[in-house]
Amino acid sequence: MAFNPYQQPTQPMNGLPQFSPFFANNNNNPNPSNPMMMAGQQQQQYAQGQQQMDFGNGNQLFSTMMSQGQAFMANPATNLALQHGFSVAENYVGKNLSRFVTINKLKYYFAVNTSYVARKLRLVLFPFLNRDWSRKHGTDPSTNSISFLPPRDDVNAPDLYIPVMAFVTYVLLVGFWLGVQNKFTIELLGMTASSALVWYIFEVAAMSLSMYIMNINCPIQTMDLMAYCGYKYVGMIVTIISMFVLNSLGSSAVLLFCCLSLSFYLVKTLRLAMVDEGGAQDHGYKRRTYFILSIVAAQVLLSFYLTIY
Amino acid sequence: MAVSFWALLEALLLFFNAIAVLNEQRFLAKIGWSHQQQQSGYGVDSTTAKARVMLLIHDVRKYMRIPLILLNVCVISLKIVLG
Repeated sequence: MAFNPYQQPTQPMNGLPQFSPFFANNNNNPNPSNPMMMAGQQQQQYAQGQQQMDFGNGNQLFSTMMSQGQAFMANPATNLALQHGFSVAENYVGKNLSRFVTINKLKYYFAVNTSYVARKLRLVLFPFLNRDWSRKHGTDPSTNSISFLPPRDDVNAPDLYIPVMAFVTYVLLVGFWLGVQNKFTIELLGMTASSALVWYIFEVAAMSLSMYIMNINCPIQTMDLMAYCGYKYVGMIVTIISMFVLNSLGSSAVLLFCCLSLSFYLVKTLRLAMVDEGGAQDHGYKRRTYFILSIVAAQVLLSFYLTIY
Repeated sequence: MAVSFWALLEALLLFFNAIAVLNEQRFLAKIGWSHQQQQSGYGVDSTTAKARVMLLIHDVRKYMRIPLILLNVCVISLKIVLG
């Protein structure tokens, strides 16, 4: 049978915490004269108690450490310390989390339902069929103010659900594709995930920084930018799926189509998101146009780069 | 090119170190990128791209000095220990 590290030892424990094999007195030897003999006796007893462990003479230290771990976890003082630590962490995190991450704002981006997801995916892949690109306004019931409607009610609203899901699906699909080609290792999965995440963070940070430097009058919010930069994973997923079916030329054509669709969608959406609402003259028009074009170029380049398998 | 997450953090730290190393009086004043030169002119003009970059450099140098010291100490000791 396989080694089961979670199995409790069958012999009874002492009341004292057993942190060292030299303290244990589980066997019937009341005179612990020889520590090495004690350790050996304890090993024999544990070996008898858990007959699944078939270690042999070379692994006595390992089995000693495992038995100590089980003794540590079964100790009531450990449970008390763990509970205390959890409560302290909960209080500290609960008080300070709202300073760094606004949960309500995050909840807005995850307020989706299935029909929204279906419509949005169709919108990102085939934006030519859409007519109305404006985001709807509505009354927010909690703060009683006019704000954008959540993605549930408005197909043009950005959300973070689709980018997160698409990112994970992309990583899994890349792993699957590499597996079909017999090039898969476990490290490649982690490296793909962290590499794509790094490029995503770098892209969002570069866009935010360039929005500040170029002094754009009506900048896109950071969370919205995260959402808009995450929609390219949908196109990448479709491309990788097409790699299974078509040859490299066909999948390049699919990638090109997805990039064109995404560019069309982003231009239409970002032009409305960055409209200059103050003043009759529109000074920053050129800068906004260049910025939108640079976002689109970054999406296209990264889509090509991350699907060159 | 597989980039790991630690590479990003290290690159970010090195980038901020590079900005913090630029000395205002000795270097930036010579090439006219100093914050004081900009301010002693016609007030703080923070609309052009150059002015914003100068403001960013000045702020990074001023506010990120202590966190950068701490971060550098952490990273250097980690690299000494872990290699």
